[in-house]
Amino acid sequence: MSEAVIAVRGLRKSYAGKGGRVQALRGLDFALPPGRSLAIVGESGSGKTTAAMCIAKLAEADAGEVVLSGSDILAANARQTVALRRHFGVVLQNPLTSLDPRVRIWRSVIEPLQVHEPALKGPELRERALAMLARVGLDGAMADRLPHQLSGGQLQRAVIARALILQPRLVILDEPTSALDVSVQAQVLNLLCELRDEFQLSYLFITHNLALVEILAQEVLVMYAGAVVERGPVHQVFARPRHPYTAELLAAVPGQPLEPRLPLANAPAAMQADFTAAEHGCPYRLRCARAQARCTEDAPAPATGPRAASCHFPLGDHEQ
Amino acid sequence: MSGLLIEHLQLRIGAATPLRDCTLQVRPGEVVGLVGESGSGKSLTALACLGLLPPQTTSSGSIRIGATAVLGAGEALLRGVRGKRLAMIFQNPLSALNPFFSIGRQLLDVVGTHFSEPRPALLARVQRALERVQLGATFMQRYPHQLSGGQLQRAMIAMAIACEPEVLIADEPTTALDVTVQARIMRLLKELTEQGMGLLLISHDLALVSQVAQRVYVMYAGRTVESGATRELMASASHPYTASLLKAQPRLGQLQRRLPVIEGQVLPATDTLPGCVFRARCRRAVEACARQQPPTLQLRAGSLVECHHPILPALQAQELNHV
Repeated sequence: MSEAVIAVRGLRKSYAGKGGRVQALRGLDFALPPGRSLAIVGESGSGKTTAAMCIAKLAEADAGEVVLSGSDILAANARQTVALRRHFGVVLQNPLTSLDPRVRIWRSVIEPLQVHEPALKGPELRERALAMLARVGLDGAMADRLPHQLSGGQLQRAVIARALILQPRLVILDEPTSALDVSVQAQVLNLLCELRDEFQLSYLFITHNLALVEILAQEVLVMYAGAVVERGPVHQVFARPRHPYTAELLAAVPGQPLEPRLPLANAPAAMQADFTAAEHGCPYRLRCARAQARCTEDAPAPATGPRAASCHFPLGDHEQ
Repeated sequence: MSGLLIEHLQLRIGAATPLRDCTLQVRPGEVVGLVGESGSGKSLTALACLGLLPPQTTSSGSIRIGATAVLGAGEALLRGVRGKRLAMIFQNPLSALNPFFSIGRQLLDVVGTHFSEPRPALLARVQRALERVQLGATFMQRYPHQLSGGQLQRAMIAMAIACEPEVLIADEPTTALDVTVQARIMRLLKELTEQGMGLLLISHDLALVSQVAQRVYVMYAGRTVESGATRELMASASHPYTASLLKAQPRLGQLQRRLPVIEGQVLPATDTLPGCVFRARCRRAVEACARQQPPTLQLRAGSLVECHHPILPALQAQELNHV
């Protein structure tokens, strides 16, 4: 097997909060072989964006390692960190805030080249920018515009061009289409699929929208309150969820009749997750219809391995 | 005739016509969806219903709530309509509530504006409204920052229904919320219509609207281009835009690699050329589409489509009814 594009081990992050440390990330492990893509799904506060920030070293993790091209970026010094960052591109949710409003599109696209390939000169830089912009569907006229002169979909294409300009093998996509209209979202998703196949990219795809997962990724991690509650190949997890939270998420996806079994009455209390319980008890127990005494006493075993759920009482095949 | 009725509403702001022609109806107890992408004019339609348009707007057509004409009405009449007969909730509940006042105080202000009753009676109304959205009486004393996003949106809904409006307009009420919270809010909104309130649900998400709405209107470039019973419209859309929008929507379990896209750009609001607003992006466009505004056709009972070349359900090709 060839070397993993990225290997994350024991990644943890906590923040100071009222009533103790908030466990934003309780241990994240995964490795991506070249060309494989992973989606991390979960709701607000589940830790999915914290994971992306820690991996890109835009937030400092408490513990763990993130190995890119044989080196741990978390242990690297400032100069090594900059060098390691050329192995991945990043596309965030809001393209307008990802680009400098005073800088023309093509100049934003070449910024990574100026850092990592300082020998390149003006005309070459522009040529590289125009070629990459053309690949994502933006012509020369667009390249000379300022961000406010482009639509949301065009801006996100420009951000994708910048993420790919160094030809990384990994791209971190944090909600790349959630600010876009449905028809524009379809165009950007198609573009991401084409680019993945053309450049053999691996995506680390962070999303709350389960309907997008199978378009871009083969594997999925479901996160809840900072913990990975279920993982596995996308089609297996979606067809036969084992963790009750995964089942709840899938049932809430619009496009199917509203499930009467979502209990509204006890929702305010039940919507709360236990973020502070460090190592004991299941974080989902307050919301879980299947919770028993054991769920408060012991933390379920973490979801490790290719297909797993972190639950004392997982859903059996007959219940799904 | 009660409920909300909008007929041929057109709004112009300077050289732009952001709303070209909107016709829609919400009957008592009915959940109606209004679906469209950014800039299609759906939020502007809602603001027009409440008389909250920018001052330089000129308008034509009509908006009625019950027998009252709202469009062009004076402030005094609008004050009696807003909140009392026609209420609205917005996308971001945190920016719609005042951070300095408790939830109870803010609901009491709204109820006190429309009912001249002694304080205990007003308090009872507020408590009843909070109960209907399943927030306990303890929420009266809380401040917006002490509530979660879903609780805040429920407090907003309580405020909107406290005066028992005839119609509630919900503009993207769950866009800022998580999916599991969204599902609960949707169920709550649907339950509230069981006592006769009409609900106009505005959203960019056809799948979401289809869960609760009995009928759906589709807006494109400031026109309501198609309307009909939700199930029929989702199963076989007649307008090429609706059909393309449905195909572009990713769906769980539908393992397709490539999503069909809608090529091109939305017609600018300043465009005044004759013909169909969707013609430049339409694969079914024929010569007539560039020449004249499409007719409004009734392909089935209760459904309308504005199109020269609609997608026809197989057997109905012979019996087109012009309206």
